[in-house]
Amino acid sequence: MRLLSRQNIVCQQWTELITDYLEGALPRGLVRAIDRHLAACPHCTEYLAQMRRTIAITGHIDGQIKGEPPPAPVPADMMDALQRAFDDFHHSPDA
Amino acid sequence: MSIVPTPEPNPMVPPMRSSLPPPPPPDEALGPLRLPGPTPPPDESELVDRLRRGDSTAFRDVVTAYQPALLRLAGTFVPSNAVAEEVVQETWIAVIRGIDRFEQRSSLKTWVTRILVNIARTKGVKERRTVPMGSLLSDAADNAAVSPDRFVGPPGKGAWAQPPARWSELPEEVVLSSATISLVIDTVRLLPEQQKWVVMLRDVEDWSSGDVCAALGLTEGNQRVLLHRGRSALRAMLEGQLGRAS
Repeated sequence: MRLLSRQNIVCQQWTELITDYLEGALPRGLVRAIDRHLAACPHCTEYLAQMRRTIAITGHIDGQIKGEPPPAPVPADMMDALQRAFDDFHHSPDA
Repeated sequence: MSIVPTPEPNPMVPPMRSSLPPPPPPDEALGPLRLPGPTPPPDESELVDRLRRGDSTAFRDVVTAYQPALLRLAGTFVPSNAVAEEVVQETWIAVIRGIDRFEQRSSLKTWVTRILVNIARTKGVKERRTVPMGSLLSDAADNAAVSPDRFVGPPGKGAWAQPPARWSELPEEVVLSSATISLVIDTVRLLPEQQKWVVMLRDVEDWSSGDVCAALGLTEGNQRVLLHRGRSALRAMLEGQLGRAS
């Protein structure tokens, strides 16, 4: 990684470093090398935009992953069963 | 109750392996929890005390608050809604029995989710379906974020030959169409299990990396590798939907 920071970043390397870059996990020198590359490479800039878009779209599946509509309140019978288990545990001699 | 995690991250995921590691033995001895992520909200220790004292109202509140996310998570990892509900129910039973051992070094939500993860992993292994497309997204064959044939130049150091398209010019109704969302949901479901957990918690549930590491027992580095693979697979799938060549 340190060696890489002294070099120029090329497109294919960027596609593997992008997550570490977005996570702030790269050494400063490497971030600078990437920023230099991005300033000169519209395709890699677009790749970054695509990845950000991907993350944003993934955030939208919240609530839809179990189908429409989003999860209903806890069914009463399930809640009652859980509460019985909770009460039994706390009132049992071993609790 | 052995499924209740003791609080040490368990570095069980070799970063470059594709095959599913076996679920950690439930009674595995683990050490102190690191990196709990955001500080638990100030009222949480009071809430935990109430749970320990057997306060039913507190318990109902917690179940009501966490249930949707727990069901959503479980539903991604097991074959049916019925099994997902079972996983969540078993999680609550484990919470009831284990709350006295919860040391509050992570948030309650992280701890509860970690229990769910352990239970869902066990069930998922027992009831795993055959997923024909799974191999497409397995990281066994090819770990590259982008297929090497999209680049020209020395291996690993190529420049774009087929550059990414400009999604920014696409209208929002295309980007967030139900077809796009369905594709993402299907793709998330097909990710290798570890990637799926990380993507679900980070990008769907919006957890911090510290919380995800604590809940899944991952190192920060492993978590990033899994996140990278998962996000890269999702981007590649979306490229098929939203356009590839500019």
